[in-house]
Amino acid sequence: MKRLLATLVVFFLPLSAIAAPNITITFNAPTNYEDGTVIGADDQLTYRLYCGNLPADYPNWVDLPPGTTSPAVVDMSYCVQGTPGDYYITMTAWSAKFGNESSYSNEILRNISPAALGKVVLPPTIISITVN
Amino acid sequence: MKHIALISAVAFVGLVGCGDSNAVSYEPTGPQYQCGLFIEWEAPEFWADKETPFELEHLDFYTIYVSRQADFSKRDFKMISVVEDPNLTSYVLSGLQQGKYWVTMTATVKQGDESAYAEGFQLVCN
Repeated sequence: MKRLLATLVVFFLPLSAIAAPNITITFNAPTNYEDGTVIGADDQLTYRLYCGNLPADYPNWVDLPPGTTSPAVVDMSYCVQGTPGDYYITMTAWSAKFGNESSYSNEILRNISPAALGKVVLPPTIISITVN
Repeated sequence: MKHIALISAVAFVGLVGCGDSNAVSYEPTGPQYQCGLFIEWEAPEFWADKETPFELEHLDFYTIYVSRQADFSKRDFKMISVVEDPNLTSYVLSGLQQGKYWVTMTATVKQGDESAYAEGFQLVCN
């Protein structure tokens, strides 16, 4: 069985630099299997996002929809179990043709803000209303 | 997911009469008096988890809701006004007809999520 090469290299855009709530992930997709064979068009790769509070320990993961390179808010929220904070994040690629998964990509530590998880803010506090 | 605990207490403000009680209405079916409201508020300081500090850069706009009912969840509003500048902390509403109202506000962050209703104020336009 051919295995995917672990050539995923993941980059995260700084959260402060993006307007959208989603976390934008850019990565170099694998082009070969571990035996060097080129991945053909007949093998649709999908990507799995792993999150954890400790290095190399990812208790939660979520599959990104095919063609998606940025997790939706609901997916990101699932991956970090709805809790903002610092997370170690990695990805794998999944081969639909061979039904196997690559090894982990590089690991990135990022702060996942409440905004990235679609959190709401506390309401403002009305101080006074004057009628005239 | 943490939820917002709505504070149920309703603050009452001193009521200031509006309009001229000696005025004669020539529009029997229309409003006889109208009121203006000057509203002041404080910006939210935390996300709904009540732990993570909220930075104003995430705020998109405020919404002011005016209802005849104390229960804002019914969404039976007589007036909804959007304060587009998130840096503002006061606003003037005008055109309210006579009667009793409840006023509340929300804050909406840039990704579109709206806060719970703020603690409401009751007022009377008379």
